[in-house]
Formats: sequence, C-alpha cells, structure tokens
Amino acid sequence: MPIRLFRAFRKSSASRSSSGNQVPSEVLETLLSATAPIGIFETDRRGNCIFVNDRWTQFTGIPKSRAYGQGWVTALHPEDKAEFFSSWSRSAGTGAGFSLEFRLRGGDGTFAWVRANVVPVVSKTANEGGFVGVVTNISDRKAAEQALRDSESRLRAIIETAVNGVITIDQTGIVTSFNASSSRIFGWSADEVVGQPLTMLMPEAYRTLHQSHVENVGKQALPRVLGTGREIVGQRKDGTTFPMEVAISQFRIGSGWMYAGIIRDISERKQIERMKDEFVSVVSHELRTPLTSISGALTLVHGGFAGELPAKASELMEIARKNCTHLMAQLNDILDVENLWAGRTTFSFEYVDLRDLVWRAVEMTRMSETDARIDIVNADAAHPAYVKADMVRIIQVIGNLLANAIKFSPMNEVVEVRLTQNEKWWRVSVSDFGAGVPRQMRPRMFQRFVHSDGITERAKSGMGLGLAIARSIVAQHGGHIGFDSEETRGATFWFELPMLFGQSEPALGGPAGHEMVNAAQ
Amino acid sequence: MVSTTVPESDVKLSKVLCVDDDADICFLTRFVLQDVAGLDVAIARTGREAVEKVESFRPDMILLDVMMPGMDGFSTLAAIRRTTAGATVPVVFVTASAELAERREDSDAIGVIAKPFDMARLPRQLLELWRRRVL
Repeated sequence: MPIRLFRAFRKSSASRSSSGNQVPSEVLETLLSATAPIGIFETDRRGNCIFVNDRWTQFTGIPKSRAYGQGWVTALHPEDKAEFFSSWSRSAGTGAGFSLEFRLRGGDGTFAWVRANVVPVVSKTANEGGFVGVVTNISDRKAAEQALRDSESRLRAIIETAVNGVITIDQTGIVTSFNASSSRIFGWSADEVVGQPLTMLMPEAYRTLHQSHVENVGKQALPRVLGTGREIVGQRKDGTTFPMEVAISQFRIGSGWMYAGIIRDISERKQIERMKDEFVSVVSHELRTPLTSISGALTLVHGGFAGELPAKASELMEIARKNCTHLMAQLNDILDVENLWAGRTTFSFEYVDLRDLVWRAVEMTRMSETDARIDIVNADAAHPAYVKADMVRIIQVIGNLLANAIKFSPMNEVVEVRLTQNEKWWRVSVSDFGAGVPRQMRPRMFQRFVHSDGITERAKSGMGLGLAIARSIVAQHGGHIGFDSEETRGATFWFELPMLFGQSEPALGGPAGHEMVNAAQ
Repeated sequence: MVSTTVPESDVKLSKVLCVDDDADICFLTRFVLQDVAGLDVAIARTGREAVEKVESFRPDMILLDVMMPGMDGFSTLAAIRRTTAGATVPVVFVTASAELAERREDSDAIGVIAKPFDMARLPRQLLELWRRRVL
C-alpha cells in the first residue's frame, strides 16, 4: 500500500481546497493503480520498491510480487543502471527530484525508452522517507529523434562527399555551411568561411551587387529555385578567379530564409570548350582553303572551261567532283553546327510561303539525288502557307529531312512530302517507307553525331548532323520538330512553324495583304 | 566629275583585284574571273602588295582574304582606305571563319564570301554584289 503517496496527494489537494470536500482515498488508489496511462512506483529511502501500479506491471511484465523489494531493478537496461542509480543517490543527498531518460525492459523482452520523473518524499521520521516516480513511455519520440538524426547524418554524408560544392547561407548572406568540395574549390576550410559573409567567395566587383540581390530576394514570399546553371565568377582563397555554375534554392527555416547553392567549378570545361572552338576553327580553315581550290578546279574542268576531256578522264573527273561536293557539304555541316551552337548564326527572317520552300527544297534534292523518287503529296494546296522564316535555312531543314528519308528508303521506294495545317501551325512532314527508327535510337535522334547503323548501304555516309542542325534551325524559328515511327514501317519526320495568318483570312499589312494591294494596282 | 552624271548601275565592273596568300586560290580566281567571265584581274599575295596594286591597277572591286599572315584583311582594308585610289573601292571579304565574317559589321566591306565557295558561281556572286553596292 502506498500510504505515503496517498498522504502526499491528500495533503496537496487539501491545501488547495479548504472545503474539506476530499476525494476518497479508494477512488484515488483505483485511479492511480488501475487506469493511469503511465507507470507509477514508490520506494523506500533505500530504493526498495513498495508500490507499482497496474500500468507498470503491464508494461514490464513483472508482477507486483516480484517487483517489490529489488525485483523492479531487473527491468532497467544494464547500460543505464549506473546513471540511474547515481542520479538516485544524488537526489537522496540533495533532496531534489530528478528526471532521467533510460531504457526499460517490456514484457516481450525488448527495451523501450522511458522518462522517469522521481521526487524524494521527505518525512519527519527517517524511516518513512522514500521516492515516488512516474514513468512515461517515450519510445515513439526517441524513434522519431533517431530517424531525424539518421536522416540528417545521411544527408550530411551525402553533402560532404558530393562532387559539387554545397554552401548554405542565411538571409543576411552569412555562410552557415560549407562542404568538403567547397573547400576544395575555393581553398578555404569550412571553419574559415562559416559565419562569414558569402561575398568573401566572389571578386570585389560582384560583392555589392550580390548583397543587394540577397536583400531583395529575401523579401519574396515563396520558396523557389532562384536559378539553375547560372554562370558566375568565384574567387579562391589565393585571390584567383574562376568561372562556376551555380544552382540556388531558397527555403524557410523557422522564421527566416536560407539559401542553398550548389557550385561547380567549370574552368576546366570552359578551357576545353575554348580549345575545341579553336581546334574547329583552325581545322575548318585549314580544310576549307584547299577544298575551295580542289572543288574550284574540278568545277571549272567539269564545266568545260579548260576544254574537252577524253571520255574516260571526264568520268574520273566526275567521281572526284561528286565526292568533293559531298566533302564540302560535310564540312559545311560541321561549321553550321558549330556556329548554330555558338549562337553565331544570323537569321534573316522574312514573310514566305512555305509551299515555295517545300517546292524549292524538293527541286534541289532531285538535282543531287537523281535516282530518288520524291512525291509532293499536297503541298500545292490552294492557300498560301505564310510563315516568318529564313528561306535558306528552312530549305536546308527540308533538304536535310529529305536527304535522310532518301537515305533510309529502299531502292525505288517513294518519299512523300506533305504540307498540312495543325491548329496554329504549318507542318511539313517527310515520310519514307524504310525500316523505321529503331526503338533504342529514338531518344537520341536529334543529337549531334548520331547514327543509325545497318539500315541500307547508303545510310553509312553522313556524320549524323542533319537532324541536329534541323532542330536547331527550327528552334530559332519558334517551331518544333519531331518524328513518328513504327519499327519496320517507315518513319515520318516533321517540323512545324507558327502560322502567320488564318488560312482563309489573310490579315492586312502582312504579305497576304500585300498581294491584295498589288492586285489592285 | 563625270561619275556623278552616270547612274551607278551603268558603271560596268571590269577590274578586280584578288588578294589572297594562297597561290592556288589566286590562280583559280583569276582563271574564272578573267578567262571565263572576261574581267581584268590583278593578284596580290600580301596586304602590302595589295595596297601597291590598288594604286597602280586601280581596281573597281577588291576580293580580300581575311586570314593572311602579316597584315590581315582588316588592316589591309584600313591601309587601302588611306590611299586616294582605294578610298571608296567596294571590298568583298573572303573567309573560312564565321567569327571573322561577323567582324565585317565593323568594316565597310560590302559582302562576305565564305570558303569553301563554288568557283563557278563566283562571277555571278561578284556581279550581284556589284549591282547592290552602296558607294
């Protein structure tokens, strides 16, 4: 019987209400003993258990009879006993209560984390003193804490081993973390940077701008990615600068904003790009000049400007000329790609009728691919198909699609060209009846230097630049490009350009309007 | 001055100076422009020689290679412009480099012919540029 415990309760309730309206001790005992959701125990001053409630016995699986005396100690986790008892004896010495988290064995033999709040019960007679404690199961909270710690250390490990620099700053621009790669990139250790303004990692010229940027962005409400793949200049510890690519995101922590930046040193990439550009430019110049002479000489001979050639010589000359033309086209493709990718290509846009461009591209292709069969299925539609385009470039796109289709067509099989309307777009499609686009090739069709192997003998030529060039040109026109293909059943490559005017209602002021004015004159 | 009374389009292109350090290009250019198209062609293999030829040959038009050792096309053009004979002669750059072709904007060249070019089409290309020239 926990006599002193109840006495303590009664005393405290009595002091709060003087009405004498006391709760009967039996009710209290029942409440504490049977229905309390927490474990309750009481010991004498030597630590011998004199009371445990039902919850406690349910939890530990130790019946009251065994818990009394020193039996309850067996429920303590062996590793936690020392700390438990030292807190206990300290409490006995000072008379202050203590609170401790430790593991308690449950009925099933597994340990659960609990928190015990223990208070010494002071009594006039030394024999009556002792301790009263409540035990709360905190294993859920402990598990959650552990999970959080685990995930945090996992994240920390990932960030620390990341190849890219990861830096976080608070909303005033002070660095709050700096991973190992950042140290490698900037030459500063984390200790030297954390707590300092981020501006120490940039050249003088950028510092003011950055700080005002941080302040402005901080005023905005929603977390967002502030930029991916931005190229800015960083400064190392030794004062040297380098180009870096940065992705910045913003997130809320407590009441403030934090920013995380992922940083990649791209000086090596930049250098390689420069070397490649130089290489291409040198090679192209070195190739172009002699090629101009070779092709010039051959063209002039072929044109009969140097007199008649014997039939055999003329035949050989024709082979040389044809291959020279081919080589020149290849070289031009490489240079086209380089210029398109470097943004050096200039486009001269004008209002054109897409029907004309289709017709001209087909005519040009027929001239060089004399044995190809090309059918224009409906590009002679009654209405003009106006687009704003660089004529030469769009003819090149159609020509590339035609050349591809012919390449992948079986001998004597026709290639079909269509000009159709697709909502607000004019679509030019080129269909062949070849083997179709192999499934594994599909995602890479518009990349540079992509080849489809083993289709036909003719397919082996070419560098795989035609579609990459076409896509780049179409993109510059605000259009899109794509293809439909079922394996073994041919392929249709198409591109679409924005329609300038509705098909049946030419707008005034545009080229269609011009026609009307001209007709009236 | 007589030239002001004659409409521009009526001035015939007859004398072309070809400036290129590559001997074969010079030979072929002369062949196609002179032997085939019937123009009068002079050759200069360096920028310095070009400046001299401008004064002695008095060309109607100059085909100027951009990438030349020593004086490149741009400095050659500048030197030509400083001469009396070459102050206003239409100049067409010939280059294999797109980057250099872009720099044409900074000069008063009336056009760029990109290498490799089609020799057979060269006379027509030049005549077209000649017709569209702004003096």
